[in-house]
Amino acid sequence: MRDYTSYSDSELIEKAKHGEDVAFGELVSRYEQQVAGTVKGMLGDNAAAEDVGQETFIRFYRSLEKFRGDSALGTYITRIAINLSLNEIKKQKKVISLFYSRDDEEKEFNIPEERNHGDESDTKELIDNALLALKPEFRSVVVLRMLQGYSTKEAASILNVPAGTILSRLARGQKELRKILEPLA
Amino acid sequence: MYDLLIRSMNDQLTAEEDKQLQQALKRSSELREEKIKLNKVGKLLSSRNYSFSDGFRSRVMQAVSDEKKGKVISMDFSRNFTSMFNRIAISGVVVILLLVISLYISHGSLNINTFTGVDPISEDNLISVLLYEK
Repeated sequence: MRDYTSYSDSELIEKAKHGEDVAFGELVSRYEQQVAGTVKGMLGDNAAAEDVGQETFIRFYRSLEKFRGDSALGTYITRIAINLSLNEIKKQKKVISLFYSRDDEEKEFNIPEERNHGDESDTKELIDNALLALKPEFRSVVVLRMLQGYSTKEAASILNVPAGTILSRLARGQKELRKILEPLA
Repeated sequence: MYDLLIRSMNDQLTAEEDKQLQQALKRSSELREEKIKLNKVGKLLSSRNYSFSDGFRSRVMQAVSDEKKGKVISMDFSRNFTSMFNRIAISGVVVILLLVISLYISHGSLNINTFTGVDPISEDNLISVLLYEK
């Protein structure tokens, strides 16, 4: 059986284009973690994020022929993941607005005070909730820059906004997070 | 100065700005503390690792396989329902229009009796109904 781990991304893409599913599977393995970070950072650690993650790879599979390699594969897949996550947030907002009043929707995020912050799962939950408390436009920048480690330029390219916008959104996001994560900082 | 502190973490400051910030950091213990806290928040976020549930890759490959076979991937019922709704609504309107046209052709008019399927009640008919006895 062939070992696909030694192939480069572009070689795997070529093989996947020619119908070698195992090559595509290897690409999924390589970028699974990165996509998980993006979609779960944007949507939280839940089933919707799993679905969006799956949809990301399916969209990528469909667009294999169109991928020209102008940007790094990771950036390309992350762009799909971010766009699908933002679409999902819009869809969820529509559903929420059908069932809840605007006041409920905009309730301020509060950290439960009685928590034991030393617990690892609690810390994870607090980080997740802090991210979800950010507006999607700030959250996407925070996820790309602070979770995924993209540069300002790369984040600007993924989100298709100027670098200045990335910096101002990031600053706003950091200020919010600093307030929300006060108990942990 | 707080904004400058945040900017220093994400962007290159000018020499003048950097000098200002360094001086402010020397003077203010509060600002120094803020810097430490912001760094901690940064570290907390970068340490958060996410992963998909077990079998994620298999599910993706199954979906890809289905895609190849030309099966419709129904990942989200509501998503499909929304896209189908327009088609169903348009088909419904077309059917209603065809029925109205066929009614018009067969009856020659579109009054209420045509739609209800009741014959026009003339005075003679009404009398004959009222006088009928078993």
